[in-house]
Amino acid sequence: MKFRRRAEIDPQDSFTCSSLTGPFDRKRFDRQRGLDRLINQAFLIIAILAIGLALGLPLLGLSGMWVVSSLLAPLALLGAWLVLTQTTAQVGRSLAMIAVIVERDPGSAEQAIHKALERYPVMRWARLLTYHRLATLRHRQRRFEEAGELCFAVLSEPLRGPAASARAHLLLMLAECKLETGDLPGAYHALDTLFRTRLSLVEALQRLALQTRYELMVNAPDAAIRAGQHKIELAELMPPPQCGAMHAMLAYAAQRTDQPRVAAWLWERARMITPPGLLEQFERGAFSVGVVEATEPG
Amino acid sequence: MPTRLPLLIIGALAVLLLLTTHPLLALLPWIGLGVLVVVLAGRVQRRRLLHLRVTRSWELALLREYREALRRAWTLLPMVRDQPELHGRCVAVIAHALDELSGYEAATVAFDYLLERLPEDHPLAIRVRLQHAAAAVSQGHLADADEALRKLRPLAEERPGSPISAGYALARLIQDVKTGHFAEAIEHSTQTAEQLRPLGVEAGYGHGLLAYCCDQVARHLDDPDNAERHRKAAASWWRRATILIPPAALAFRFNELSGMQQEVQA
Repeated sequence: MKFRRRAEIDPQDSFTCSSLTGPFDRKRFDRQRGLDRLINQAFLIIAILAIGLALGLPLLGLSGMWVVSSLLAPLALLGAWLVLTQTTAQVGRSLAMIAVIVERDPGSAEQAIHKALERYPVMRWARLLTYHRLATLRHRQRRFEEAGELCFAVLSEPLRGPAASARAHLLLMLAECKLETGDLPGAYHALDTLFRTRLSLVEALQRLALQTRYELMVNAPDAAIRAGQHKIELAELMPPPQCGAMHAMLAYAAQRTDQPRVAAWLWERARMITPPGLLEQFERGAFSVGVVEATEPG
Repeated sequence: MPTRLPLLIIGALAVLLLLTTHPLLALLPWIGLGVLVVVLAGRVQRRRLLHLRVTRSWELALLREYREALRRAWTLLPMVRDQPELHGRCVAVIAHALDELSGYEAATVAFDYLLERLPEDHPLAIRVRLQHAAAAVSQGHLADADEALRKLRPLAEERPGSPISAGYALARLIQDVKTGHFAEAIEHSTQTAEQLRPLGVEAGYGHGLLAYCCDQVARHLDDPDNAERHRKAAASWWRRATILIPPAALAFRFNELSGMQQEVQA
């Protein structure tokens, strides 16, 4: 059985070629982030000036200017804040919608992302989360090279506030993109960072699946099958396609480490829970984890 | 009251802005703005913590720690009353845990609550309807379950190979078992086993129920050869079921399966 990268087997589907936003342009991303920074700095300057005016005028004895200090200055600050929060709130609402439709209707998700990326001014977290949604879409479309670049670009920025919640998913996607494109050092770095990141249960399970795949790719099946029973128990908690992939990977590792009975048992389980098309790929050694964002209960 | 606090602060600020004439009073609006920022930041922080606690209860349900998940979600419920999304998640955890612990009647109340609030075509709503139908079968409300499953059939057929279609296949199988339609269940057994795949290891429940159907048919057959054939089929389905799920777990979920292990070994 020859181990192959999934990207070599499944070509990109026709939909991805006619995308609205086109390939990821790092320069555009940097330009947008620069402009966002400029707007945020302008907001900060307005705030400092407003506070300076409000406090400075009475202290300078210009008490007749009370209208400026106590009315106009706070209003200017509130106005600037409202403009910034209004567009950010609009982007925030579309982000929630995109998260729901990205699986069901990638075309509409692409359009919504395109619109959200054209909005100014928005807060840093909203811009970064829009790019996170774009990375999720590209990952789902199996455009791994581009999805990896997107993840890397977003991860290079400081992820604070609401954007911090996307960090683990970005790292998981980055690790999978690197594995799919055969960039093993890149995958190692992403996995290493994941081990130093606080993860939810679903994220930790996906990290385990990616780690197992990495260990098979670097020809370390003994590491992949180590603590096998525990890994099988964890695999049972994974969403079905990942559960099947994990069983197939462990079966492959057991086969390679000369444990035919364990391998046969794992393959039997994998055959019962994996759709036939996917199973065929697993049997050829093309394992795909298919990282997903942690979903809601139910 | 807490939800109106920012509005009250803004209102008070506006009044102060209009009344302020003394230079030192110019500071008051700024202090008010500061309080507003602190209140909003505190609220965001509180929501984040609640979100984490709800997620933890869901993770416990995922780890099959249903009693603890139920206890935590129940404790959180009053705290998330003013946050519809988190409240819905809590109810979903409670419903799931109750269903797994065979508290079907209470689970049905939670399912009804969710169905009243979720959009009809939401994937979670369809899954909840499936669980609702399965709970109705388990409670013996066969007419209700039959109607619910009939309505779900087109949705399941639209999504072949999805967890929804798998959930529908399992619910139909449970219905066949509870109503004694064992022969019908066996007739479609190969197709059912295929449909169950997206359930992951939980497909084992379906295999176990198919084993039970074969065993029941074998008991009532006069023809010894045919009965033996069904007994062998029962043993084969049971073997598949126990590869995925331990016999004790199968028997805990479905009382009917409690004697299957001995039956097959005999």
